Amino acid sequence: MSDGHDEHHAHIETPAPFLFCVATAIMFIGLVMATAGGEDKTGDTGYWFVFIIGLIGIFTAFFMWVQDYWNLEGEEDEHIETYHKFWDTISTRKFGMWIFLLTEVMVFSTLLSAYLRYRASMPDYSPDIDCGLYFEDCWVPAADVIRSHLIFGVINTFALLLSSLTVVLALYAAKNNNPKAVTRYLAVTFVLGAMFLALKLWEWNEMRHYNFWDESHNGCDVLAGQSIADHCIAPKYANGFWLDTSIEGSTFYITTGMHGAHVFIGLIALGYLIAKSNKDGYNEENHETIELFGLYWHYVDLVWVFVFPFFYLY
Amino acid sequence: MLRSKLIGLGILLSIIFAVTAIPTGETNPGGIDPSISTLVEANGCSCHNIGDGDMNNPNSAVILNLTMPSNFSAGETYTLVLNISGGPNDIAPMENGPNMGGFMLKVSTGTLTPIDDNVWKPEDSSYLTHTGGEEGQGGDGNNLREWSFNWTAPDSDSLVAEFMVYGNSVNGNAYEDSGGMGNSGDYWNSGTFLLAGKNAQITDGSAHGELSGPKKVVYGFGIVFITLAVVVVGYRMVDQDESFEEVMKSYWKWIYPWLTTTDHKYIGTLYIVTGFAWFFIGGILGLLIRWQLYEPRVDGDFLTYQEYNSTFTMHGTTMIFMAAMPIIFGFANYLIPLQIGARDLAFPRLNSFGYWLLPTGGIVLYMGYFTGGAGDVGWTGYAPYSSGASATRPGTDFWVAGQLMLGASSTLTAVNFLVTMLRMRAPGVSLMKMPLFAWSILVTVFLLLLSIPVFTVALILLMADRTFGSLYFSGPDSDPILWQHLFWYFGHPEVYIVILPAFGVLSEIISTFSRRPIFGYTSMVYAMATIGIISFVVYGHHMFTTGADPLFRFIVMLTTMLVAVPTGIKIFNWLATMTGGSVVLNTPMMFSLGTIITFTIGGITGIILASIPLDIAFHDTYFVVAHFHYVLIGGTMFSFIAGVYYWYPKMTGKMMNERLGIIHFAATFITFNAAFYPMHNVGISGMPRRYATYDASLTELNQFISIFAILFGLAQLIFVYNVFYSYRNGKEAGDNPWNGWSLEWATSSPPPENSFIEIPTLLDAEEEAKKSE
Amino acid sequence: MSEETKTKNSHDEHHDHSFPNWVTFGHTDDPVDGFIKIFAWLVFWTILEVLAIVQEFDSFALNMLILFGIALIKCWYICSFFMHMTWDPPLVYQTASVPLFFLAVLFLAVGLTTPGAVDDLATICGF
Repeated sequence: MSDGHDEHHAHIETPAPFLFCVATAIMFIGLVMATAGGEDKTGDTGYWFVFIIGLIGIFTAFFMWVQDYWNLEGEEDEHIETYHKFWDTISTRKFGMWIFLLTEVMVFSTLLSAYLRYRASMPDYSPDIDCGLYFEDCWVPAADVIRSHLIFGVINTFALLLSSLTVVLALYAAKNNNPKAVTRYLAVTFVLGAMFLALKLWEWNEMRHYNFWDESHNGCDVLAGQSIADHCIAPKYANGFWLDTSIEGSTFYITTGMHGAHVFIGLIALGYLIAKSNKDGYNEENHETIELFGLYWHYVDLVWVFVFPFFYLY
Repeated sequence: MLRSKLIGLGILLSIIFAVTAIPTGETNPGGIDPSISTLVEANGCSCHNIGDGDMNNPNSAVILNLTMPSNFSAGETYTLVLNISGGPNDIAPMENGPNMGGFMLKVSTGTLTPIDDNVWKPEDSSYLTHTGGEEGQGGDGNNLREWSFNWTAPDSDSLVAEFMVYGNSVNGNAYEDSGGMGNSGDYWNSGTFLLAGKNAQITDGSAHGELSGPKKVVYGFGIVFITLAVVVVGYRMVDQDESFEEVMKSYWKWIYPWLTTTDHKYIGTLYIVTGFAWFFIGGILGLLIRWQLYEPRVDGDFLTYQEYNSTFTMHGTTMIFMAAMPIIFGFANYLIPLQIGARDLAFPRLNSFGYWLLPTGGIVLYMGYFTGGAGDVGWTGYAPYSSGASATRPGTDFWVAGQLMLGASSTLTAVNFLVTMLRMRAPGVSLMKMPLFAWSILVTVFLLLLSIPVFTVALILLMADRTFGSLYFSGPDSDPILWQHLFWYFGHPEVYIVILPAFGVLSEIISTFSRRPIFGYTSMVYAMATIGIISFVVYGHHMFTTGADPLFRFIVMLTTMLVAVPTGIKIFNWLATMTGGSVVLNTPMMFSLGTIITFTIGGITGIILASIPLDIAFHDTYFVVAHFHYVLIGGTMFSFIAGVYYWYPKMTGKMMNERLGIIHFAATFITFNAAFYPMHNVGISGMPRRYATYDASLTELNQFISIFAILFGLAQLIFVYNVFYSYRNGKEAGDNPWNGWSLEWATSSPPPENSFIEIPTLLDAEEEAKKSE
Repeated sequence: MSEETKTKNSHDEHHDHSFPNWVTFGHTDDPVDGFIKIFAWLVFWTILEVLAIVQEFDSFALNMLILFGIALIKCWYICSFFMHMTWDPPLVYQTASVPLFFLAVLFLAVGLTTPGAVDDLATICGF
């Protein structure tokens, strides 16, 4: 480790982080003013333009950032020495990704704890409990709204599980020096992820507009609130199930929404991977980025493994 | 010898003088003297208040309420209702009754007309008052707390009518004795109510078209800056015969590296400078608070009550997130790679990203000042106030958005540091051989990693409530305590995040200037790790008055008291280090000693607050404010100022002026204690925190506090001057001016572009010391 | 190209990706085949939990046991195999277990302290 390394250790200069942050600030200013500004404080719609400018800036900065990696053979551009056993058993970036995933664990745990708190504070709906005229004293879960159309949630679950598999297969295709297969598997992953998001948005729309149960209400007297098992929905949701309807709605949409946002960010990163794979190809020597992405993607799948039963089934 | 004895005697006498000068808390019967003419307007309802200290001062216990329409049409007549509550007539039984209260009301425009026997309008006057006070008068206005009357609007509905009300609340003990004039123990208060016409606008207390205070400041600075820029650029163009493009290019060449650097030393410098700049902004906000609290004030006297709420909110948020944490990250960025023998952090671009989120996030945070009021929800943002309509809008939304950015910055920086410190240590730098500052940063980033995401989610839930109408905190069945749990789950580790690096700095400085390694290194490491882990369990002590689960409160009280044990171990270890060493009393060391004293006092009040019964009495009083300022200023700020004096030679290659440093220390230490110690007394007397005014009996103490707070702020200018002066004219520092032995002293001052050409190997402290002898 | 990834690769080649026999219904040398079988297990457990819920058992405890238990099982599959933890050095699973204590504090303190919560803290501890 001598003088040949000096030029490798010159510090990188890049305006991308600075621009990313400026764009983020502009985006937030636009968003806040567009939703809470103006004379009556309910939103000054002219500011949506500022919001869009901010978003464009963020994407531009993102592209500038990955520009450094785009032209490298692998994404590892710096040799980082390590001198301590145990801590050097995995690569720096893999270790970094695992540490980052710890923060994500805390994010979803917070959402689930808040859900647990609210859910545990009220009895679940059951015909023998007095739930109040509008079922305000009971928890009428999103699962009951979804129950008659559960198949879509199950399809989404399978889609996500399958996409985890295809990411692993992409990684092993790279290890086996099959760059074309890598691109194909990554593309399938993208399609599955996009399908997940599309189906979720459709589901949300249906739930919001009270489309998720039989128009004739299966002979239910909605006001009297018969058994949920008969797919009658309590008057609580007579006008649809949305995040401002009730706490059940707030917890459902915010939790699944945060999960969906993480899928979306994953798809953006995946877009880069597919483009890079198409251009240069990942192979036996360079595939670490797929592995890192895979860890993130499997984590997103893992969150769904907990969200699905506790929001869609129960 | 004689000289130092004289200095010591002088300091001792100053301390004795300062202690005896603390006022005893009796009010000064100077009172308020507004310059208006009628009897009541000059002295309030004080004619009902003879012989008691409260004679001339309004009492905030009396609450006035004027029921009026939301706006008026020209020429219409409205029936208004005035109601008085609070004060001694709320305390049953009345000593002599049934006298309840009285009032006087006048209005700036329009006409007042009584409609019943309880209210009358004296001849040749335009104000209304209650009946029953004069001989031969009918009516029972003296025995009421509520009066109705008519008001006819003026002919123009683009005016704003201002109702000025004086109301009093009596305890009925004077009816017989003083000819109906009242006696001691009565309270009175005054208030202003604004009623806008249909076409008028009430703007935050300022006339239409006038700029708000913060806008004036920013525009003022902008004008000054632009003028200076024009002058400087123009001068350069003329003097050095350059074109405008050439001048701009040379400035660009200077600034571009700062915008694009990923070098930990530059980013560290950026963090420190930015942190101190925001520290001064937060300090000015603090001085605004102290000026508001100089004496009891009515709404709008100096600040409106809502502006005051914004002031303390932004003061807290700025100090924690924009000052303390950046300064910590700055020192960590600069020193950690040097101390562990690494070339840079593991992810340099991420480091830059983490830094730039700071000034941009700060701008978003402060945008509220340009849009009708910055966030006014307290730095703790309690729901349902923060999720409801009364909080400033969009100021509070900007407050949330800014903190989302700052939270992202801290999380990513934490990831960066954890990976760096665990993986990139040089040979010989095993974990148990790392300097204690490095250990403190390791524990700190671990806490950051796990607590900031919880706060980020809480902010997102709050934003969802405010923007999308979700019902986490704002619905009829929502649980505001959820917000408190989520906030304090983060909030308590957060305060350990700002104090642990201070402990690290103290360890470095104390060991270097005691000329020996820290006593009990291993126990210091375990103490910090223990503090870190326990800090997640104790957060409930901020929620003792919420009616939380008794078992939860019990566990929290025990663990909060328990966390004093490792902290105490650290303090005793520092003392033991000094006892066994040969102490050098220069500026960094003096600040460190000052820290130990003030932090210990703060820690003791912390243990007091840990006890549930005591906390129930002290919660939300100035006792708490005193506690946390003692640990935050006395702990964090003093340590990092010591850190600046200690590492400035390494970062700039120049020594700071020692004499100015000692003067700075003396001024800071004295004014800090003088300003914040009496807050304990004031808090025990019941002064609530976050109130824009207070009971008049505490005026003198508050004036004392405010004066010394201003002096404390002024004392910091000595420090600023020293920093800038020494950069130009300081003595050359050399590589190791303090004869320290951690790795940062093994490289040049300032360190070269590549911090280490060759990764060094860490030797034992004693071997290093032998080398330098 | 970079020595670090090279080192990691050779590390991979040294251990074969052996799946437990019961997972793959017999030994397999092909990791791809192994992962496909893991996926099949995940689908199986998903179908099982959906069927269990559709039964609408009366007992709250039973429902919780099934849902939580199956979620943990699926979590084990994803973490051990897809996220490679089975074959990773101890640093990985030690890192991954760090949040467990903090999660427990979060769920117990935030989740179960409303009065009368399904199993609120006080009741659990017999207060």
